[in-house]
Amino acid sequence: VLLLGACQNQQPVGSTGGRIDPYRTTGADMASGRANIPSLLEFSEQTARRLAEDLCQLEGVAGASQRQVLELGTITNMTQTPSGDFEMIQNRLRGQLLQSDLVKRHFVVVMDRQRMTSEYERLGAVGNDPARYDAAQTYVLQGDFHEAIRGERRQFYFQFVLTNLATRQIVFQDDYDLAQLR
Amino acid sequence: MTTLIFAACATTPPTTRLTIDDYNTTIAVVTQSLAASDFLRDRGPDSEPIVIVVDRVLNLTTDIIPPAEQWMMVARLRGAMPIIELERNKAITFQITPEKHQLLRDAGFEGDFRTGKPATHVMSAVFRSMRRELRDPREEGHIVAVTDFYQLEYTIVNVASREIVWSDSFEFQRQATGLRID
Repeated sequence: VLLLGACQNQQPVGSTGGRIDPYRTTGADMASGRANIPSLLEFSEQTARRLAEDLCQLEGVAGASQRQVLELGTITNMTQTPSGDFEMIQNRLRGQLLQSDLVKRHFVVVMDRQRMTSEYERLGAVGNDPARYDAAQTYVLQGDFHEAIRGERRQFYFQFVLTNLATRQIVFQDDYDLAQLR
Repeated sequence: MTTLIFAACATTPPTTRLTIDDYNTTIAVVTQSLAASDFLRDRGPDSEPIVIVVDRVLNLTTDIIPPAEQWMMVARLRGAMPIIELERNKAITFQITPEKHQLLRDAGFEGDFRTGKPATHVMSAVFRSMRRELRDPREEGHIVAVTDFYQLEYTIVNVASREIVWSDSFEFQRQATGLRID
C-alpha cells in the first residue's frame, strides 16, 4: 500500500508510455554531437514567426489583390547531422506557417508539383491535373544547413532563402546560428 | 501542432519504440484538430463536392512499423469522423485507395474503377523521428541512453491545386537507457 501510494499523485507511466516533454534536454541529447533537439524545435518556431511576419510584408505580397503561392523547395544538408533532422525542422516550419492566420490571408501553401504529379498518376485523378501557378506570384522557400567543427565546439548555421520563381530574385533571407559544446 | 508534456515517476522505459498509446493519443489529437479546422468549417452541403483518398502512413522513423499498422493509422482517423454526416452536410466522400482495388475485385466487382468520381484530395500521414545517443566509450556497442523525438503528422492536400488544406501533428519525446546494439 505504501509503495503504491508513493506514485499516487503522478501520471501512471502506463497511460503515457513514458513520453516526456520534447523541450527537455536529455543526457543523450547533451552527449550527442548533433544539433540539440530543444534548440532545433525553438529555432523552427522562432523562424516560423519571423518568416510569417516578414513574408506578409513583402512588396508584391502585402498589397496583392489575391493570395500568392508559397512552395517549399529543396534542402541542402552540408553537415554530419542526418538530412531527416533538417527535413523535420523544415516540416515543423511549414506546419507553423500553415497555422498562421497571417500566412493564410496572404498565401496558398502548396506541395511541390513533382510530388503531386506522381500522386495524380497513382490515383488516376482524371481532370484534376496538378496546377501550374503564375511564376510571378509563386515563391519558393529553400534551406541550407551548414556546420563547422573545432575540437569540442560545433557551430551550426541555418539559412532560409525565399525566391520569386519568375525573377529568381531573393526576396527574403534569414539566418540562425546555433553553437554548442560537447 | 500539439505538444504534450508528461511526468512519470517510474523508471525510464527500456525502449523508445512507438506504443499503442502513442497511436491512440495521436488519433484523438488530430481528429479534434480536423473537426475544428477551417477546411471543414468553411464547407456546407452546397460546397463543391470533394472525394478524399486515404493513403497509408509514410514511415520515416527509426521504428519498424508493419504495413497493417501504417494503414490502420490513417483508417482510424477516417473512422473517427462521421462519414454519412460529412457527405450530407459537407459534400465530402471517401474513396478506396488504388492499392486496395484488388480487394474489391476479390469481392466480385467487375466494373471499371476509372468511371467513378476522380479523387480530388489525398489524406496522408508522415511519421518522423530524430535520434540522439549517449554511447559508452569503454564498451563497444553499448548505448547508455537514447532519446527519440517523434512527430506524427497528418495532411490533406488538394490534388489539383496542390494546396495543403489541413495539416496537424502530435509531437513527443521518449528516452530509454541501458540499450545494447547487436
